[in-house]
Amino acid sequence: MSLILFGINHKTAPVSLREKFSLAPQRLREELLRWRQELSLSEILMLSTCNRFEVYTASPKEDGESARLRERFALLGAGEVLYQYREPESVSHLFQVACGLDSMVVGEGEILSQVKEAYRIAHEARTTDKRLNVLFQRAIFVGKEARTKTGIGMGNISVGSVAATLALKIFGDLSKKTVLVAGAGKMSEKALKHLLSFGPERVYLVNRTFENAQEMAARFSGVAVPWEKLEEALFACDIAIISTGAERFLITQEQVMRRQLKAPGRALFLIDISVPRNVEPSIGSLDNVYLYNIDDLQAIADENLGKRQNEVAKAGAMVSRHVEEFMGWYRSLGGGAREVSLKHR
Amino acid sequence: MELGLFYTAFAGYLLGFSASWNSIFKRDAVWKKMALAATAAALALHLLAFGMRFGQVGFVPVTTLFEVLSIFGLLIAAIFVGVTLFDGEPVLGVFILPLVLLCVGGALFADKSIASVIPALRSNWRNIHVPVLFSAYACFASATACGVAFLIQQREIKGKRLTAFSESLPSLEALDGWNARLIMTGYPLLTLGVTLGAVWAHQAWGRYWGWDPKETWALITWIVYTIYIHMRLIIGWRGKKSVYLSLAGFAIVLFTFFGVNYLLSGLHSYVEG
Repeated sequence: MSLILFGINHKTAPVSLREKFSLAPQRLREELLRWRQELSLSEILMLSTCNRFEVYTASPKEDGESARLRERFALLGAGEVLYQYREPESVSHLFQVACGLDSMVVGEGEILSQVKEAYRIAHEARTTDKRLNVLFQRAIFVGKEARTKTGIGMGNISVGSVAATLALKIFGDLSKKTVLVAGAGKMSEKALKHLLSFGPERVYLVNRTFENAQEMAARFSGVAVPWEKLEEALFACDIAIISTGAERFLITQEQVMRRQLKAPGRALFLIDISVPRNVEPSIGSLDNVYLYNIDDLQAIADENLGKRQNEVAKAGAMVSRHVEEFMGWYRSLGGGAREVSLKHR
Repeated sequence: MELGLFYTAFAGYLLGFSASWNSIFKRDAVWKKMALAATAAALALHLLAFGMRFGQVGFVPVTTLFEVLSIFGLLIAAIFVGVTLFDGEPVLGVFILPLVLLCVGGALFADKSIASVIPALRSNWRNIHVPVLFSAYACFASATACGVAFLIQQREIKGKRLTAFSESLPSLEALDGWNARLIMTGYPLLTLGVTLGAVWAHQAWGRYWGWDPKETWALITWIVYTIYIHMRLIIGWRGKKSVYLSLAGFAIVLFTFFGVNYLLSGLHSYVEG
């Protein structure tokens, strides 16, 4: 009986090599069938993401599949950088992967859906049987549990998502709010994308070069606003992402005070991503105005990442418990003794 | 029997409060559910106890300190359950439920015997005037709790020092909104209560208004909340300024209620200590 894993990931192999192994979901099915046939494997499942490529196999009786797999990986150029495990380490590794403990960003959620998808494809292709079925079902369960019972996946860890969460904390519902983006840049676009996922009513794009504003407006279904109308747009918006190359303060205290006088209750969330800062810092002390610059956002993101790191031990302990439980079931399959039932708690 | 129900209700409120406190720091959604469920269950028991007392007394029991504190706690708990069911966060219980615990807890130490009601108060007016006013005060108390939550949340977001509080509390706009909504609910009740009081006063004492301390301070309360509504609706105040005004209003409510009874004398002071 064996549960074997062969793989490469972002820790062992450079992206240039990982690229070669990357398989689109459509091709996964034929590769599974091909590998199973060519390498005489009883059960096989492939997990292919941009950060890892892993092959899981199971068989009732070991008969050299390790050697054949190693050969195949070597042929594909990964002989030096692959890792291989057998049970219980292969089980432990998979559970950790599902929990996001083996990811580049600890606790990230995408890996769990990738594991689910990999299982679905292999299951449909009928390249899995009892062992891998139960293993992966359990792995998905553990991945979910880690995210609900520990803080491994909690808190925003990117500047854009931190900004969006703050906007929600201030305004609650963004559906009647207006977002303004002044300037351009990767970071402001990321922040905008996160905000857009909460459905603001209107987006204004302002840029010194009107064509750039128009291009962005087209991409984000917003309204391009000429540079001269920046103050007007500022008065009309609730959330402003400022990210221009201006050398001096673009948004002044005097401007914002005028805005607040016009509409005393209207809150304003200013996200100043520029370096040097475009928004006069004293604005942050005005009533109903909230000003965050890039350092503030990054500090929150870092703190959240730190909190996730603190949860790693907890999640790791959870994984160990589940590995033990799984192995109890797994071993009961082998001998004449009756199969131990694996309860879903 | 009534007291048994009352003590159990207190335990239920305590459970609800600790559950909402836990929901701030623990991840499991069960704490939020428990906060609402425990408080709702406690409220049901409390209502039963209240009903039993009503039956015994014959009219709305709002004479003794025990009864007053009990009904206050009941009304505020009812508001909490209502707000949470509507679209609130059970985590608001951390701010609203302490008020309930103060009232109901305080009532536990008060004299629980049924008091005889003095002739001046044996009127159907009392059955309406007092509960209506108490409902108004309960609204203002709950509004204040939301206002305090707002100030804490705003301090964290402004100061960029985010804790589990800002993570679990509703948004600033929601908190400010509840502060306003509850005051807007209490305001007509206050207006009605004071008006009914004047009508009753005319019947009992022969004049509509006598600048009795209670009347005077109730009027001052009414004026402050009128200013609140004006600043909010006409001038457009939102956030900190609006909340501070609501806190001022509540301070006057507290004085109108407790201060007048225990510090000043007049026709209204007959609630025994």
